[in-house]
Amino acid sequence: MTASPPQRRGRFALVAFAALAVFLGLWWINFDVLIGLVRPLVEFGANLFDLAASIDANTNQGWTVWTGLTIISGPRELLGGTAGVVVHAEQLHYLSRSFPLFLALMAAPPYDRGLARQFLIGLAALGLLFVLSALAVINCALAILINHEPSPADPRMAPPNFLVRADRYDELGFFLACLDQYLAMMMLPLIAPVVVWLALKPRALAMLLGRA
Amino acid sequence: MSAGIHPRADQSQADKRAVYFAATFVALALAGVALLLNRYVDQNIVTPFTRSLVDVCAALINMFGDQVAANGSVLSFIGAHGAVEVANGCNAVEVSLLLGAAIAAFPASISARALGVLACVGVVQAINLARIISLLFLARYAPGLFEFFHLYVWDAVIVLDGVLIFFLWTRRYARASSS
Repeated sequence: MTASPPQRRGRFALVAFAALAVFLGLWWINFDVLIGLVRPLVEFGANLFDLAASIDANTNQGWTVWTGLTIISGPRELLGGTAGVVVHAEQLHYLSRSFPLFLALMAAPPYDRGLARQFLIGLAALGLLFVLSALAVINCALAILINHEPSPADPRMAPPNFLVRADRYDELGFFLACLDQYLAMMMLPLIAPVVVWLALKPRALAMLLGRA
Repeated sequence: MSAGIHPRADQSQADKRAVYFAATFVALALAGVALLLNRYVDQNIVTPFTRSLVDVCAALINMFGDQVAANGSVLSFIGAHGAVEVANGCNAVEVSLLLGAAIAAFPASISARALGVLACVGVVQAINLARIISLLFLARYAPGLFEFFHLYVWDAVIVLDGVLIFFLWTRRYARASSS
């Protein structure tokens, strides 16, 4: 006897929430290791797009992005040095929120053949999105540093107490840099796992719409 | 060959509807983001809304005997440690925006979509009140768990709830329109 549609949806919700609890815990515990795996990819991308020279892990679980730009004004001990911008641990946590949610959605029924392949494709897609999102965050931090203005999207992202020698972002470029950062941090990690999951599991969409 | 709609034409129609839904959803979501980034909207709508959430949380908690104070966007225990600041991102405005855009993009009557947005966003905001209150108590009684619940658990729970709420609404609408 097959389950009725409400039973199938109930089973989906139950398994998804239970899997979420497991994957969130695993992700939290292994966050340092997982972010460490991705950092070289983000560094490669930052070099490719001329955003940064190198990215180091700092002691607060975040990253220090070395821009290659020279500090020309500010505290004496910084003058002449290379400017760095910080990607805080909280920002990296926000960017990586999509992974445990995606894993939980995929772990819930219905199950298709080739589930392992679907997992890998989804993780690769979200991994690429993470790298691009991290680059958006770095680009925004760079724009704030160079233009020495706070982000219109998040006034907490304020410029540091020094100036660098670099060509300013024009008004549109600055706004787009801050908008990209906002989308990357606040929107994409919420919607991307759902979109990728539905793209990989059309049967799940049919079940939720009551067509299966 | 039997009379009726050809299966391939039916699939093509469904694909067109899906593309229309996706495009409309993205356009509405981006329009919503543009609004949220507007300083006037942030100062005159989002910030007062966030403060009202804090006020509601304080009123709910105080109904059950605990003593908390709402000071702008900060919710804190009176006479004891433990406080949370409800910033942008913690007011579930982004999830509400995405859910509202999805409902507004769904092929349904205007009244069904309007009521759907109000009801579904209301449910999400009710869950968010539970988030804020739970984080306040975690800040006081289990500060070691605060960041985990703040950064991961509640966001994922709210998104999953948003997905389920959306599909429950589409099911209800589909049943209502067919009857």
